[in-house]
Amino acid sequence: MTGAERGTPDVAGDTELDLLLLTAKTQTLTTLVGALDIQAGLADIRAGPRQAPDGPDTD
Amino acid sequence: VELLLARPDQEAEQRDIAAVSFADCYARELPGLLWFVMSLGASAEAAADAAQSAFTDAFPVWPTIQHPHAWLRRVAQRAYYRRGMREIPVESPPDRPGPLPTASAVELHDEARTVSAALGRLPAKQRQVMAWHVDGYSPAEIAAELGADPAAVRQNLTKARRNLKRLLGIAGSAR
Repeated sequence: MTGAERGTPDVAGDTELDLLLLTAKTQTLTTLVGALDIQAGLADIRAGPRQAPDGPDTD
Repeated sequence: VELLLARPDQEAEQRDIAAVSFADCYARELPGLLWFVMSLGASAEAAADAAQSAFTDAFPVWPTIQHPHAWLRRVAQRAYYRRGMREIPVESPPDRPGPLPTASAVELHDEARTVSAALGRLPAKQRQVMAWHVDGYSPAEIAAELGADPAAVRQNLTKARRNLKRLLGIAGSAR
């Protein structure tokens, strides 16, 4: 990722940091995909809120 | 207007389409949303709680949400902060099963654990802009999402990256 793409000036070590962040994110996503139970999560949502909702948001 | 004019069978069909769309988005976006909340400093359990809360809020208004990626992050972030960034005690599991069956299910790799720990040591504002940044948002977009000054976001991002390099032992951090 270049400085222009980031919106910050290019500084030494940027490429290494971006690579490390990307690696960590990819590893975590791989772990989470294996750990999450999507069907249980969907069933939980369809059963309704567990507590008072935070209120509506707008988009 | 289309909903108002739809016949009951059409309404049911539209609800079915929305439900399928929601389920697809949940399966696709949930891991990334957990990563986002974990980047704010949450454990996997607290991140799952905040992410699940955001999707639960989204479910009844799903057809009206135009940009789910940003919407879910905004609401999950708020849920995490509203709960005081507290951790979920392992000894008191939720009364209903959520998407994360057991805390021990998430064993991060060494690099992920190291980066996560470094993110957790950043000051709160820097950690917040990094979470959005790592998910591909520009400083201007982050400023819009957080209702912050774009210049302040750029400044926090620059400081966050410099601090992360120092914490992770990356050359070029001494500035």
